[in-house]
Amino acid sequence: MISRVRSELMVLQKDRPLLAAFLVCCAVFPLVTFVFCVAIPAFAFRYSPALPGTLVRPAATTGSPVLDTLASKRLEASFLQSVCAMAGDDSVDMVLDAPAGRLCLVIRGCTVRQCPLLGFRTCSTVEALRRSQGLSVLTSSPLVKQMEFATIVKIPSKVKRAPKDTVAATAASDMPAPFEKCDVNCVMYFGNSLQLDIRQIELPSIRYALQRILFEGRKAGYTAHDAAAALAHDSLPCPRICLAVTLSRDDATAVYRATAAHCRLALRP
Amino acid sequence: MNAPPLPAAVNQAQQVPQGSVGEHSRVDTLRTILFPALGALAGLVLSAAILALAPALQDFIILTRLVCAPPAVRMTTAADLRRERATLNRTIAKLAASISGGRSDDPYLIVNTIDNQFDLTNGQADLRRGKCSSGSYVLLKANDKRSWIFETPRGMFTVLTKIESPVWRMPDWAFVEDGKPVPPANAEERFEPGVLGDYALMLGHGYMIHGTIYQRFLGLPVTHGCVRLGDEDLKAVYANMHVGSKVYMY
Repeated sequence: MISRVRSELMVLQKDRPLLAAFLVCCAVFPLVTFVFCVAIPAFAFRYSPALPGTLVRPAATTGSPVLDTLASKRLEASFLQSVCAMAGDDSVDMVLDAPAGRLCLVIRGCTVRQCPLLGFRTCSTVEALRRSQGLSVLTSSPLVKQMEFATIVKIPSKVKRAPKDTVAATAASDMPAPFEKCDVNCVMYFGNSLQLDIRQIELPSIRYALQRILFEGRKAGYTAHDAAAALAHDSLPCPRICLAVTLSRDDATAVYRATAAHCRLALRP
Repeated sequence: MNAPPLPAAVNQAQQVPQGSVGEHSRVDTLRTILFPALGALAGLVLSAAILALAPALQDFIILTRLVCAPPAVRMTTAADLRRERATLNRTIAKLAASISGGRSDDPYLIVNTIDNQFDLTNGQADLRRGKCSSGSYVLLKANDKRSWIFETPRGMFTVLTKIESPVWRMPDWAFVEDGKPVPPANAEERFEPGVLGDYALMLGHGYMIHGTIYQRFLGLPVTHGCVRLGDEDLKAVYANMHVGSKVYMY
């Protein structure tokens, strides 16, 4: 078998037109994908303020502290506006306040759980938006969760068949167990292309290595599916705004399990 | 003088008998289809990898653009900046006031159904915290196709009534779960005193906060949707919460 493959490769090496056809077929799909899904969206992504040219001058840094203060005040105002907008609902929502170092679960504006951020990372898209004041526009209204998945199940439910009689019921009753504590990695996709990764601070155990591999595979698959779906609808996939937070295992579990499928997020990155 | 050895492929070609020329051309045709097809397949796999890595690649390009191109700053007058800052300060103060305005010093209860813990607080200090029991997430399927999921609801609730020495009116699932025949709606065997502890706080839709005779199960998800507390905890919650007090469950 190996010698057969080797001889076929030799044939390919010698037959130049065949080699050219092979290479063209091999390159055409990745090239098109790269151009339409990576290069054009990334270059078309606008982060400069949309102002007439006369009002814009380049500067190495944001410049004066007054401007920096204004930018942070704009962010604070849009964040508070977002928190206020969530206060009218009974559902469990999230407030991610990175400068304060916490991720909170809130119900009707009341904080029911405060999770300290043990790590926080953002992608360069966030920095690009920050420079263009686009961040305050993004965070001025709550972002709605659209999709999520994790290495743990959302609701650890069990199915129980009704016993036939009292004897069977007594035999079936056993000591209840607490919900199992597993390694938690979850990702939540919100509107406006925001992706929130939640990781646990504890080192991952080997026991859950398979779940972790499946999770990463599913994440990559979803990203690919999302980009392909955008292309199918004649639009280019938007650059994702990625945030990653590290929490304790208990906090990460609580955040994933407590929030509903369409929960909202108020954000101050 | 010996001739140099021929390459393997040429050697093989020479060994092919004259009669199999047709087969040879068939193999060539197969190659012209197979190699481009294999190339396209490899290309598709690479495309899928690029799609999966698209966010990281895009991020890299955006980062490169950020490094190469310095940010643009709006040129405005100092008066404009002062005006904008004043407006923002007013907006922030107004929003902060509206967020804190809804809070009062009334005690409220937070029930954590993930870890089965409760926290009685007034916003400034914890009045009492401890273990509780919440819904088991068991889906009970009866033989007559009916089913119940024992889940504690999430969100904000209000204490509707407070009851001392409550009597439990057993719903149908209690009989189904015990393997007993379901009695009529107001049958005497449906009413069981003592099992809900000394107090109960009704939250509506059949859900309540009550005591339990199964104290050893506190901290575990074992209930049928209600929240169970230990005797002393229940006493403190009953004493501090009044009708209209808020209960937040997550």
